[in-house]
Amino acid sequence: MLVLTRKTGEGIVIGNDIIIKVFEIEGDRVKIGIEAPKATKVLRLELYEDISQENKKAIDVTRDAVDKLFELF
Amino acid sequence: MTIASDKIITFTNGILGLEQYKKYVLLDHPGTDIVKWLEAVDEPEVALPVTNPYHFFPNYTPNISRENLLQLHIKSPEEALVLCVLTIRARTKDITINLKAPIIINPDLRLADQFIVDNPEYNIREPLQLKKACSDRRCESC
Repeated sequence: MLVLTRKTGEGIVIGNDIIIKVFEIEGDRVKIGIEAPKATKVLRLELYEDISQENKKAIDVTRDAVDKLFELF
Repeated sequence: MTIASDKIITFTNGILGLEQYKKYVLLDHPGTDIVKWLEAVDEPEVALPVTNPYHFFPNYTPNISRENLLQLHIKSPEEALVLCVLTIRARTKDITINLKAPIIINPDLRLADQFIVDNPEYNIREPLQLKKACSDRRCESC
């Protein structure tokens, strides 16, 4: 992973159409502005990871488990 | 198994965490029309149980931007087929539905993507009352 040090007001350009700017640094919180094409997904990493994990758990569901659920009634 | 190409659903970005698989087929689960399986064409081991969220949550209104829908060439929300991923915790029989990240399909072009909606009321692991939903449905048909 590329690691860069930036100050408030500075930024990073990724490719042709993504700009990331550091707006504010306060304690351990950084306010970041992101300019990206609307088609580009911009997600908080923890949300992305949470949903990814949930999708991977869904793969582990067996057809038997679904059958058993419907046996309940 | 050979799959007719007109059955294949192509994900523009991929299901989150499973971006390496882009092509899926939607298969029925024998004995029920509530659960279907999204199975990766190149890896049949990768199959996610999905359901029509409106079956359980008739007022489900995920906020998906016009731009996101247009990526799938969906011009109005009514054209979209909406599915949500189900997870069953082993042993406990707890079943949850992911209302936070629905899978949106353009049924005509067979294009799809998983979007994260900004509705704060929708959870990644919303408990599903399967039993209740089914008995209610029976009542309706009585």
